[in-house]
Amino acid sequence: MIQLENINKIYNESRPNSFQALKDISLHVSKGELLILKGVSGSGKSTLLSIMGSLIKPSSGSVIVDGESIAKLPDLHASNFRAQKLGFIFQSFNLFEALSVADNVAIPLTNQSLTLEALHVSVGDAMEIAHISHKKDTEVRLLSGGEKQRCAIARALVNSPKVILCDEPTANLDSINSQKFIATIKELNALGKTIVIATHDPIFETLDARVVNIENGSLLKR
Amino acid sequence: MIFFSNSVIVFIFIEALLLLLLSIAFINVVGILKSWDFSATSTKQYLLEKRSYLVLLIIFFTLGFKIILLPYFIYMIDELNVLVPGAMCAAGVINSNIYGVYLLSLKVRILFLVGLWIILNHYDLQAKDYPFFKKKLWLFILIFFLIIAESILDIFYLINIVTDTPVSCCSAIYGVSGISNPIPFDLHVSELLGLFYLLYGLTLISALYRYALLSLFSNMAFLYSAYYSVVYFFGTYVYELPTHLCPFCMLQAEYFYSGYFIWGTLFLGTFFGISAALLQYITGKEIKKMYRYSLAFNSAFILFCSSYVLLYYIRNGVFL
Repeated sequence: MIQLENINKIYNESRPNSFQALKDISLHVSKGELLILKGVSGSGKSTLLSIMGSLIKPSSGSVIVDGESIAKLPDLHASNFRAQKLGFIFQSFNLFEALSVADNVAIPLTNQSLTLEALHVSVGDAMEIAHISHKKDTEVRLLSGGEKQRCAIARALVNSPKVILCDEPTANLDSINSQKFIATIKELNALGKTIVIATHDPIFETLDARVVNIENGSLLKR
Repeated sequence: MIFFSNSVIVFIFIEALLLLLLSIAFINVVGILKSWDFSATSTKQYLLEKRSYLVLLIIFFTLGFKIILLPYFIYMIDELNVLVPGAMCAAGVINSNIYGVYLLSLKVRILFLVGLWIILNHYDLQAKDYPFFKKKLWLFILIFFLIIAESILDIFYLINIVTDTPVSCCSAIYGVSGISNPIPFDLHVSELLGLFYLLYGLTLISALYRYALLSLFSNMAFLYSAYYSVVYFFGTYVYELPTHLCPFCMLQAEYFYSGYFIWGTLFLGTFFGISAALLQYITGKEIKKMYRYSLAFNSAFILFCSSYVLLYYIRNGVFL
């Protein structure tokens, strides 16, 4: 599902503050696999996740996601690619506080030319899976951290993505909500979703997943 | 005096604004062209890609406005006939000094190139590897310089519109008095019409069978013959007066603004026909849609023009 070959990422190239975030990384993630990218802050795991999600482009190397090469994809196509194939869950949720849960969840579908009825069905299904349907009309600013996370999960699922990328998803959650998040991840994985989680939270060790350690921009051999 | 006219003030203001935006885009385009290397994975190239997206958006909207501005320019010129003694329509105002005809001709050519740029940009953005990126930027540079020339001509033209000396009206400009035969190659009107319908047939065949070269030349020739056919034959049926020869009067309310439809469909039909061929050479792809549009607009033009003659005959039992 995801194939990374010899990925390097250098920030501020050819400048005095140049910094190599990723060094010659090759990684394969199979369809339906659950992968944990583990490493301390600054190790390069978020950069790697962003490259997988075509949010940033590598300085060299090839990235193939679901059969499509995305390393040099123009921004316009990268946006379409993300909208169709990927779901993102971020550490800080990145939700619109003034909008309701249902409106936030519907955002990835705004450019998909769906009928209003189809849109309502997709949003309802995603909220159901993420266990946030009961708060669908509540403004996001009134939600707890755990509820915000579930709203973010529903938003990540609404376009039925094949791949879900999570960046430090439990960083703003207490342990109870973190456990709930893990339970949701298990459910999603059981549905056949390919999931990659970048985290340094030891709570994910309880998951039956492949763990890849990353340190100073390189994958550690195990 | 001309500069106190509301429509002229609006026109100059929009032209200046568009020129400013295009100048900003031009400076960026030169910078992008200098360093562009799509195969590179450097931060600089990625920044250029981001910048180019914004610049292309500016160019797209600015050039889009240029398309709207041409009909407005013609409308403005038509309105000015009340200020120019002797002028009855835009023909008199356009011919009130030596710059008018050149300016109008340049504006039409720019419009054609703008259309070509917009289509090329569309196909370039659809692809994932910017296949026509440099070509469209070079085309933009050409358009930009032509727009600079157009702006200079605009100023010279507007400054030199005479408001105190009588100018010729359309009947004097396009009428046969003083000239033995104003139709090129000394053709008779019936011969011109034969050629006109023959060339339409060729544009039809080229569009149906998608012959690029035939489409290019037949549409160019059709545009040329259609202009004279409208002025010296179909126009007389629009005005229902055999001595009224003018390409502009039909743009007036008196004739239900039919000129906008006549000239608009002719321009679009021949534009798509010529562009289909040019883009086939530039992109290496056959763009079927363009041939279809060419066929549709050329046919609409033919039907509309011919219907004037037919309706006149049905109503009166004779031709003009």
